[in-house]
Amino acid sequence: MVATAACSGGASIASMNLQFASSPESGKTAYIGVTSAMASIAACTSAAVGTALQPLLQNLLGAGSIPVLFLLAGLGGFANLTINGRKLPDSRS
Amino acid sequence: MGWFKELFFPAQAPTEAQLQSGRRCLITEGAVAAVIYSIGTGNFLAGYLSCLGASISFCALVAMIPQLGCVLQFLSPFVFERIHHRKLAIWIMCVIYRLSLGVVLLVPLVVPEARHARLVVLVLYTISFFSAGLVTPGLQHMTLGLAPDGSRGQFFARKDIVAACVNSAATLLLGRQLDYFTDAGKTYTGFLVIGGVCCALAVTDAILLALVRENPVKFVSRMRPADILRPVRDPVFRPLLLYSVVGGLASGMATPFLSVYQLRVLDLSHTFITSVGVVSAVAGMAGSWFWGRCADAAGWRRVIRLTAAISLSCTLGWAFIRPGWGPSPPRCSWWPPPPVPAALPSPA
Repeated sequence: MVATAACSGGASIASMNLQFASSPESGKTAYIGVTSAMASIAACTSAAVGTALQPLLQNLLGAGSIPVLFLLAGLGGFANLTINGRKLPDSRS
Repeated sequence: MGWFKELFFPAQAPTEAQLQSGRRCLITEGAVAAVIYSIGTGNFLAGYLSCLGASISFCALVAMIPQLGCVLQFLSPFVFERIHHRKLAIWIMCVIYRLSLGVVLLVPLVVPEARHARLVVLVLYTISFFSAGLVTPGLQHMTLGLAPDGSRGQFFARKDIVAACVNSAATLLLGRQLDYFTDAGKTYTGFLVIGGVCCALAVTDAILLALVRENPVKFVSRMRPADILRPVRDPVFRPLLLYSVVGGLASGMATPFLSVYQLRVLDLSHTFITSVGVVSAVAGMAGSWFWGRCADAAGWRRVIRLTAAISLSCTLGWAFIRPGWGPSPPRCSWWPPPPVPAALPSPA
């Protein structure tokens, strides 16, 4: 919780500022809004899958059902960081 | 009506002194908003829903509504990209968002049956976070418009630090009083007190936001629905979009379960969670300062990569934590979930 908190502020400010810096003057709200909305659609879709999956996993693993979801989320995130994180545009504040 | 026009549609461009005053209001408003958000999400929400007899998957379902609300950010540009003075629209949506969140915790006062109360909470919570989703890009753009050029990193770091200080102190106090009421067998009273505090904070937030002097956008566009695809077509922006989308896909799998996992599987108390929250806030402040400086020196991309690597390691870490590792002895068993009460006890 502590390590995540130490990073979350920096991560969200960095993400927002990189979006702000990488978008054209005429459509900053659109770019920021569309990015956030598409990320949210993706998060909601996988959250819906997770919510549907958890009761099934609970029958098999009991209280271990939720740790399996954390494992999937962590591994997926690292795969994204490795593949897509390398291609991010660069920008100074 | 003169004051209303001056407040939301001033004829003159803002002076530097007014912009500076607006920045201070925005920093204070950010702190109040952070407390309201903390009350309406995380362990407080999971505990409140558990008190209403909700299952783990229902708690996770409600916890993902804020993400669902963000989908409305698709529509936001059609509202905000068309108007020169955006403050009134932003203010109205913020009031709906934060006041509804406070009212969510007061539902047992008017809906005594748990099953119906859960449905009303679901509806109010959806209204609240749909409004939040709609307003967020506009509010972010207004904030960015007020941030001083050349030292945006430091402005956001200061804003974050103030919000973290106020938020951690407030949530620690509220967590302790909630555990006090829970130990006294008056959990619903505890949540009603928190609901009252949340409503008072929502009014304070509305006043502060009204006092922020907007820096009106110079460019007003007429967006078309096809413009939604502009970020997708933009070769510079596309990698950032793809990274955000796939990142959302991965995090969405587990994020809604975190609070309910801490409360009902790991059996952590509100006091423990909010106490760790204070330490987290200190780490967050140090982190904001560090990452702000890091961004000013090395760019935002490096900050994104480093913070993502650390956060994802933490996500993986949750998979290996077992019940009983927490320092606080379990006061009550949440696993299996408690039986659903037919009716809520009297809040008194």
